[in-house]
Amino acid sequence: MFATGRYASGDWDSAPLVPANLIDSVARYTSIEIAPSGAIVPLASERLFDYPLIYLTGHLPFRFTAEERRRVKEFVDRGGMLFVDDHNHDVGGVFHRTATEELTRTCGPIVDLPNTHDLYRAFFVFDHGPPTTTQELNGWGDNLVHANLQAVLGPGDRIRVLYSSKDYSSEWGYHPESKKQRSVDDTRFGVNIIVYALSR
Amino acid sequence: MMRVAVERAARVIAILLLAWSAWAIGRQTAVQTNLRRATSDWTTQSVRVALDSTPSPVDRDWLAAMRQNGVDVEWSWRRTPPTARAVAASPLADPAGATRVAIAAPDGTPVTLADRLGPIDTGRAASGGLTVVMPTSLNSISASGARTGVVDSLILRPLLVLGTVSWETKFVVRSLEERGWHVDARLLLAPHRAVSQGVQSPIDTAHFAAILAIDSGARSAAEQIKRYALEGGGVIVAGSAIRYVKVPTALEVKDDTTWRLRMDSAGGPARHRDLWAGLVAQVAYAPKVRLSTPVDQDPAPVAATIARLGPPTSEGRGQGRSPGRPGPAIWFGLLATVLIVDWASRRLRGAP
Repeated sequence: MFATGRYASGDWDSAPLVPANLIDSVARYTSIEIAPSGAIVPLASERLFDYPLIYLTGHLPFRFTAEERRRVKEFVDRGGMLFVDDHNHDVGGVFHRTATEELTRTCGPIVDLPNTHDLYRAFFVFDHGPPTTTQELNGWGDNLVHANLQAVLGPGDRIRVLYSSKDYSSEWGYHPESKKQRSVDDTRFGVNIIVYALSR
Repeated sequence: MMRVAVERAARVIAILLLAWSAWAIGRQTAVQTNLRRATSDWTTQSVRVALDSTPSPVDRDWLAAMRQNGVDVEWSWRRTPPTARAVAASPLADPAGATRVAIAAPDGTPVTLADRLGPIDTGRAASGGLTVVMPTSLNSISASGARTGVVDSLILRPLLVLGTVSWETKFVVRSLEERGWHVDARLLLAPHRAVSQGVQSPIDTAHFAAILAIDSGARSAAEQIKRYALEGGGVIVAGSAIRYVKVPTALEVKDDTTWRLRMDSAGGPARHRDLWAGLVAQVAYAPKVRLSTPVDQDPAPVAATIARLGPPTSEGRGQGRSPGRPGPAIWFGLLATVLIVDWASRRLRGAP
């Protein structure tokens, strides 16, 4: 269904529990056929095109190699979608600055995604846009609650690249069994991202 | 005495033949390869034309009118008849514009298609003709003298995609939208939850040009799809939907991972669009609207020529001669024989 992208620079595997947690949520809430475990694909590999949704995260400076850049551009041009989450939850941080620069260079300009976008109603309804994370509410990182996600949009406002500074990678990085201890499942927005990628 | 009589008779026959020839020339028989020149003289008594290509409707009318007015009109093909005997063009249900061109021609003959600007494609006839799908709308198309144009426009209603939320349904919808189709979708997401796109219109031919049942998510609409097909609607059944949606007239696509075609190469999106647009064009219900008929049409010139003028008086290398009527060579041979007989007879008897 989706894969974690491995890139040459930085720490691409900094949130290893996120895929399993999202797979659990998709299986829990929907009837979408989904493999029980996540996949990992190198961005420079041809296998990238087997997974039309790719999840990227990290803390460190983010740079594509020339081959990664070429394949990622092809990937989004053919209809694939990238979900990139800043594990630092910090707009002044090194990941944010380098990733937004690299994604703009590779895929096109990044803009604020309106909170009325289809993404927020793809499955669960998020009337106020992207849900906040514990990291934001605790004042960590840049001490901001980010009102919008950002995106590279295609025709019809379809999302080609979804970029988050909210650190969902930390928020969703726990074992799926722990969900039962939470009053509200915070991975519901992750279900929206996957359903959106699969249906728009 | 008898020999002298024969000599005189031969001389008289020769003189008569010469006189007849002069008289025949005087009748201004026209044996023309230039059809316009042959038909330009209204006073001629007979016209014999050997055609290199099919005559235009105007020339056919001229020849028919001359025959109607008592002129003896004969015609034949100078060489073999034109390769393309007829051409027909019809629009395909494709928002990007596509035209199916059918050409009737003898097996093995090369056919060149052209529009007003020049040649656009070539092919070789097999099984009595050739069918070509041109990826554009064509107002005018010609093949070896046969000319036609698209005279119908199609009403293209939306498509409806039914299935589950999956990469296959997503990319089928996207490719068809990129092609220009308006696509509604009802995609099953959970037992009581679906992702919908477009208006929830009833499934009938008044609302949809075709239904695409992509997988088992279309199961609950199987009966509606059957009724839709009975109304004349086009149906494509793909992947696991084949097990649940039984429509005899449906186009079946067994592969449920055509989306990989789109992702596999740089040209993949275009190929995926072509694939699904081509499938939809084969089944779509698209009512025709008659456009104004183009004036420059001559879709079956060979048949029209024969219908107007009758069959050719001789096939192949004809020179306009009717079977059973002596031609100039026969008359020349006869005249020469008579003169030789006269000359030999006089020499043998020592006469001057």
